Amino acid sequence: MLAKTSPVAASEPWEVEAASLIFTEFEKVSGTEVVLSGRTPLSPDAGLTLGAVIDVLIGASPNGATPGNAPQTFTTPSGFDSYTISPGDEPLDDTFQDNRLEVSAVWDRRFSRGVDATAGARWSMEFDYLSFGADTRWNFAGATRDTSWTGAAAVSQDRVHPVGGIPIERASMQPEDTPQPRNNAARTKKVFDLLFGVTQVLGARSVAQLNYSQTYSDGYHSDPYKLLSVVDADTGATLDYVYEARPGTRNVHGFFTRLKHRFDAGVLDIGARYTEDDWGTVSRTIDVRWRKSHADTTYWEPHLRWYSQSAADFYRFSLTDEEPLRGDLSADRRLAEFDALTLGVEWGKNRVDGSAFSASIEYYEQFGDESPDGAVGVQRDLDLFAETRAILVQLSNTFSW
Amino acid sequence: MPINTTVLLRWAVVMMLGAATGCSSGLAPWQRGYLAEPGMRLDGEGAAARLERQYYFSREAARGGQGFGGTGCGCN
Repeated sequence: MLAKTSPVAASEPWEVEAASLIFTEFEKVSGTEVVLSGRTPLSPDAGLTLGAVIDVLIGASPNGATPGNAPQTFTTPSGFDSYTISPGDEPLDDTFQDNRLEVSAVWDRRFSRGVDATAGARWSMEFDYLSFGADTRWNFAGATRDTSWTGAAAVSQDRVHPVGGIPIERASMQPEDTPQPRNNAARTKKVFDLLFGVTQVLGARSVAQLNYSQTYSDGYHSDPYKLLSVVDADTGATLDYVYEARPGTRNVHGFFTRLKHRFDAGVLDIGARYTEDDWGTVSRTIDVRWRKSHADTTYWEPHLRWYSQSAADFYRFSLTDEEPLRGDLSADRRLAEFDALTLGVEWGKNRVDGSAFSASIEYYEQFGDESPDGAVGVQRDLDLFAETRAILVQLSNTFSW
Repeated sequence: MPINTTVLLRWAVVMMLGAATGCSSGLAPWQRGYLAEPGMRLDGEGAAARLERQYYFSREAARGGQGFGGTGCGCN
């Protein structure tokens, strides 16, 4: 018996989207990330999108310790090797590399005019991290579609099994080829996401969006590869390195609003985001784009993004030997107080058949406190926040196949 | 934890009131030409936007608000 095929699927092409991001951070990590997805209609009202993501990262990653005025030697996560950092340099683990593969499937369905939904699943694998997630999104639009409401939920189960095992929190790093402080081979984390949003046509030239989101995670949040320097309270000389300890839960609230207005000369796109969590981190983001289109369907779009975050309550750039070693502690610079600026430009072409191509280049830089209060002794002469500076290049192409 | 979002909340109230009343823009079909342009769409997150969001997710503490769902990586 011949398998029945949908008359829709047999005649409709796949809608394919391919995108890549290539970035390089000065003296740190470089990476290439590729996304490929394709949607095929299952019926006039439903479709299936299959996707894959490949990430390849190499380079030198900050290990959390602060620079010192003497050479510093660190044991690699395996415990069988070590690397040495020169005086004054930011401690970077140059054995860092990470490859990730993700596959996903999303089913979409239009139930009636103005009501559509999706349901999807995702599986992601790295050599030291696994994640499985599922999500659903529902969209309700008014009769004229000037107003639409969105509700979405997602859940994921993550498992981290780092090289060498899970380090004991706040335990001291040991020299290479000696027993390392480990108490588990792996730990897990569950993540729950909710999002509610509304989009509204404000007029013939304006449209706006408002989202509220909440993310709650429960489980292992520490970075098993990150250290915290313990220094002499008078001289600032490094005495020890201990593994970080983060809270077992995290609750994040996010507000996002966006406005697009069509001027005669182009489209102004302004987005603003505010987030806060129970780790004490508050962030504000302003994202501005200006799209200038041309008669040949090409466009240029300059981009500016300003980001600002406060430090997590348990963030410390280092500890002194007179402070208690207890509670939650982390020297991960990503939890520090800093601002970040992105400047870039995108060129694109929207073809008459509905396909599109775009290319962009952006510069990203973080600005933190290089001489924070609490720096002691030799630390006052060192740069305690080595900014991340990066060039990002993106390519994107959507087409039918 | 009190949320210090005065400006955002005022904007949210305006948006929500407008949306809750199911307000229509009152636009005729021939007045919707600009809204149909690719640059005016507020579509869901495309692949390029997702990649950009993942980079920021791996370098900054914030999450949520715009994009949805985790990135599935152990990068933060």
